[in-house]
Amino acid sequence: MNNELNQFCDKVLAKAKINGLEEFEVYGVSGSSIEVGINAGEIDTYSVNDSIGVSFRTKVDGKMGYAATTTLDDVSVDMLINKSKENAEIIEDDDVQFIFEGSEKYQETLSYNEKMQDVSASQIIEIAKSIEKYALAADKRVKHMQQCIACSGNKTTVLKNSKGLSLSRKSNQAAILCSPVVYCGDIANSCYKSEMSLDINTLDAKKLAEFAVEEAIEQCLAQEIPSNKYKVIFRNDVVASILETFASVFSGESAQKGLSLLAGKEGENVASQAFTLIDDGLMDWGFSTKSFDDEGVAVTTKPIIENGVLKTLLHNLKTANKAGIASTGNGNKQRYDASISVSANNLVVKTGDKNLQELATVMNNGIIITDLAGLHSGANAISGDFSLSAKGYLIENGENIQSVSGITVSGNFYDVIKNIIEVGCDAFASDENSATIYTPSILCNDLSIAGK
Amino acid sequence: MISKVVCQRVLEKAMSTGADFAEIYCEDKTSNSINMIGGKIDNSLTNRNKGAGIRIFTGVRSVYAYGNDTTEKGLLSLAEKVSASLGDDKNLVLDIVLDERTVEIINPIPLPLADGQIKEKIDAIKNSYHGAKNFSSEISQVSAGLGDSFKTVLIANTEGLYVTDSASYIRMRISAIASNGTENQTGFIAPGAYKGMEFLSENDWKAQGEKASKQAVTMLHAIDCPAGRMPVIIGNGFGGVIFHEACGHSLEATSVAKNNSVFCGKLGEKIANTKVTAIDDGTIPNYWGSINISDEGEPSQRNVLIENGILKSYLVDKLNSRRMNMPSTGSGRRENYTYPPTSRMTNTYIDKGTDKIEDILKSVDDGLYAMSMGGGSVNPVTGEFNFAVCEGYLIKNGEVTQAVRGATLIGKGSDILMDIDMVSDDLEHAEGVCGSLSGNVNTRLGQPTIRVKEITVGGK
Repeated sequence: MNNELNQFCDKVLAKAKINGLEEFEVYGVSGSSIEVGINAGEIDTYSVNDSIGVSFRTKVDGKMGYAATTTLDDVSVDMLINKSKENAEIIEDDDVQFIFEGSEKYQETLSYNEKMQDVSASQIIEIAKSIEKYALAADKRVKHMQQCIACSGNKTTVLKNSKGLSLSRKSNQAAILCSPVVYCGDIANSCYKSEMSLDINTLDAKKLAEFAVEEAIEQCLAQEIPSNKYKVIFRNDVVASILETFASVFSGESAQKGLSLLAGKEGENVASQAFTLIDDGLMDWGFSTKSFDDEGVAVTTKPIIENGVLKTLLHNLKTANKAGIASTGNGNKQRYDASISVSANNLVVKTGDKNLQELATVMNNGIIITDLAGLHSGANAISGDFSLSAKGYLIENGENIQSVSGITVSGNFYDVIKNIIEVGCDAFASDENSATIYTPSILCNDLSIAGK
Repeated sequence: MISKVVCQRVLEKAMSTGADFAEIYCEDKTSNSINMIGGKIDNSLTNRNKGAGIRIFTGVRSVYAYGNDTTEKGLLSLAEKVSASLGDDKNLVLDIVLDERTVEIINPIPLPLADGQIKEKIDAIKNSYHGAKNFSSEISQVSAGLGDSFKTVLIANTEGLYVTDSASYIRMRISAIASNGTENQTGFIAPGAYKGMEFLSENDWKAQGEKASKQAVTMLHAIDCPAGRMPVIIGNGFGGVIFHEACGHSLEATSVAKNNSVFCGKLGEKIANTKVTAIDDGTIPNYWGSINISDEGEPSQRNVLIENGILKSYLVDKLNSRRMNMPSTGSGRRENYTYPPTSRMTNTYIDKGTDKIEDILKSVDDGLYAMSMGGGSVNPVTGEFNFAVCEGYLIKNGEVTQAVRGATLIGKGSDILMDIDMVSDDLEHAEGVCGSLSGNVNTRLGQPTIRVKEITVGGK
């Protein structure tokens, strides 16, 4: 399939040249994946897939137009060229656009695990079955599974353009997901936990299943607490969801469009001194580790916020040029068929030295939040406001005394990062909705909790 | 499109190892999007996404494979993949006879999407943009984007079905930001329909833009919503998200068939206040959530889910109809060929009642008027839901007073259905995109203004 992809990309480039286009680029992705769902010891769903997609962009009178296809035939070659030209012709934005000739040097990265090629379907089925088995064995109150999934996939990306740049990269990933349904008397509850890795053999189905079961059972007994201001520890997985939701505030593109309140704040204190946030696109075995971004610029590692000071926003070639700086290697696209935007590669919160229990001791009285719902609707990256359904534990004198649900936590992201008291050491890796986050738990000052 | 003969060969291959049902779903979709921000068109995309998926069942087990090669060779290779998962080829000889079904077109398109309509599209975008931008000097940024798509589908299965259909969607998204330099607040509106270009001339885009900006400016001057339990009036239109989340998802066979819903085994029982009648209707012409046929090739249906508080029906797809031993309700939907279909909503709404909005307002001494809702989500097992209020006001002694921001409503679906104690006669609908197991599908939400006796409001 990679051959097919390469040949098609070359064909598009050749035809674009014949048609007299001057600056253009082709970006192609091919991949395959397998996903197995288990129910009551049997395979419930089984899906095996191949996918391919090619995007083409061209500069006409300085404006960039895009078109994309999943069908690699001659009709598509013409469609890509004609439609991208038509689309370029209606652009009014004056920002200077780039088709890139290439960076001087690309750092080699550890981002593709060769061993994963040998993973068989039966191995994935066995892993999926084991998740259910471990969950059912963990506690007799587990009645059945809502979801129990193992999956694995790989992807090849190619980038070629009229400036002679020709790059390719491979990536892969495996994941397991466990959602048990538990009954404590008449009260039913479920929760949803997942783990991802570049090496399927490191996925720990037992640990994941037991964690999911424990949390589902504890939450069965949860109660509401009175509305008030509380100190809050966001557990590591919850911090990851929050950062994913608000990641666009660090985008130079958002800032230039007036969609981020961090615009123009470089060099200023925007967060607590305890908070350091790094975009590390080159870390070993990161989920979004790569040597070049989606417009061919070498990926870098740099602090975004260092001890509370905003060091840089993230940029692609266009936004960096507008800001008078160099691209930070964050010219990424959401999918093959999207236009180039700006996003973090691996977003990493620098760890402190206390684990979750030790953070609870520091907090003394407050809440550990272990689950947030409604991030897609109750949080707004432009205003920074959030008001979200939450679950967790009430902490008194450093001790966990009660599981809590039916509450909401409200605040503003820009305030929360200023009110960080301490950062934990329990780093957690998350890769969902195109954002990769590595973060520990975080203790914050007073936030509004609504309950009974 | 793929011929009957080819479909027969592919289905036979898919069944060759002992499956008892096989289905081909082929889709060819072209979509365009144009976006304007800061007064200038900054993005224009065209995408053609074509592919196919093959699904087989053995009992209640399902196997799915998809790919982009829709030639006979590509489809046979998918059929080979799904059948191989059941074991060796048993050389089963099948005689699948496909019968071409005609689709009843309930969503006529007078002005189909086509090439060369760029000017009309840009005019609508610019009118939306300027309507929003000129609304107030506090509007610091506006983004207006138009997305449209046209798709053709072919569905064939071993029950003899061979059917083709097409669908046309168009939607404007207007997002306005009001700012005072240190704070941003947003307003958003996104009208859409199962329509062609006629949709653009049917709307006053300047007024739509103004609506988005009015919300942003109102929220900029709003105070933080107080937290706690209080009576809540939920406005009509997108307020229907409350039923969609709090109840609709829990009535989908996806949750019910595996005993993962609070409403399992409750057919014929009272699950809501007698004032509540709720309907999922995919047959309303040209509504955003309407369908001519389901993504399993069955005719679109109108399903009464709750009638005067009594649970009447679930939403059922083909696979879950086997699990539940109930007929399908024509509810099998999917985002595209990369997902196997499952039970989903179409246009879902609480039907109009007889209360008057004035009386509903008058009935509240101290509460929240959630005039405009954002999205939300639900855990079907517990029924716990949450949704965001985009534009809210405090009610004091029956009067709408101060605008409030940052409100979220949380609770349990089974409780809130009982607590809806007033239902007005001002039924309205609004468009949304619903995400679930089979991806994002277009859904319409609706309700008249309703009162909920008491609900937990999250705020500061």
